[in-house]
Amino acid sequence: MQANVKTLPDDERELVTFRVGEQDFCIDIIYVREIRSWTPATVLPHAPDYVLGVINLRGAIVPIVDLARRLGLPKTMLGDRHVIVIAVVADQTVGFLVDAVSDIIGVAPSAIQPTPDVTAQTTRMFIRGVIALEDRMLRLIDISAVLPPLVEQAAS
Amino acid sequence: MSISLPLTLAVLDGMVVDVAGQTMVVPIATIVETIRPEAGDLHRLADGMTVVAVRGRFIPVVDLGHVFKFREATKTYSDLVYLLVESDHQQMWALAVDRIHDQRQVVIKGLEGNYGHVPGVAAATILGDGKVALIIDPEEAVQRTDADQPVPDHSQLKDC
Repeated sequence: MQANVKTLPDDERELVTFRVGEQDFCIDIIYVREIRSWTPATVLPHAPDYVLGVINLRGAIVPIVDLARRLGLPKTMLGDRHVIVIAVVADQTVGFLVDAVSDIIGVAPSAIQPTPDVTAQTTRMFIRGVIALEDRMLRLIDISAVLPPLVEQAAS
Repeated sequence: MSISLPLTLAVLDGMVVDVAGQTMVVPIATIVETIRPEAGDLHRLADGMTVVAVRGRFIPVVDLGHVFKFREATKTYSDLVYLLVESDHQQMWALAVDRIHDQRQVVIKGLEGNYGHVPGVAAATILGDGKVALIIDPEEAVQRTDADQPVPDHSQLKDC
């Protein structure tokens, strides 16, 4: 990859970066509707373990996903400092529990490197690419892959 | 034949109950009566099912806390309050809950849009304190125990 290629700013993608576990992740800002502090969720019966429950977001019922658990990391130990990133993807509104939101950065598409070839299936499923930022590695999350699958009407 | 109503603007008369620490709503229309039986009115059947005697009739008990996996099958059935519900097929069931809070009208909010269908749950609502409470579908909730088997989690199978 050429490091000296200067891209136009409007070519840049804006990414919201946040920490989950001890790792840095980011998602495209166009999916992010808001960031709010953690409020206890109402438990959903029969839900996958990464779904913490549902919260009331100004009258809408929004499911909350523990992003760490979803990405195969140890479960988030809930504290007051955690935040929920509310994302809207194709009419589905979902909140993602993360440890902390760090920054909003502009990244040229060329700076996004393909995900190193690893065998871990969760990484292959959920990570679109990686970005080198200072001495950190940002993992770009494929937002549509981490959404809880819309549970269809249980046929009975 | 069935008619589906738009969920978003519907209002429902509900009984707000406590199920193993979770606040839930049972549609009043499905409740025939509420009872608090004596310990002697509760009888166990061989297969682990409990029935409650109400005026000479034996009605099967369904512990909602167990249906929704909030707790293991309880042993202290006599501490619970029972909501007698009648299904479409005139079958009576006694839904066991921990406490009845009150009775109020709630606005029905769909879960389908952002999450999907939850077995035994018809929809959700928002209570006065801003918290979300799930509205129980009694008919479907009792069917979960009918089979009385561990529920296979479909979404977990897809996940890896």
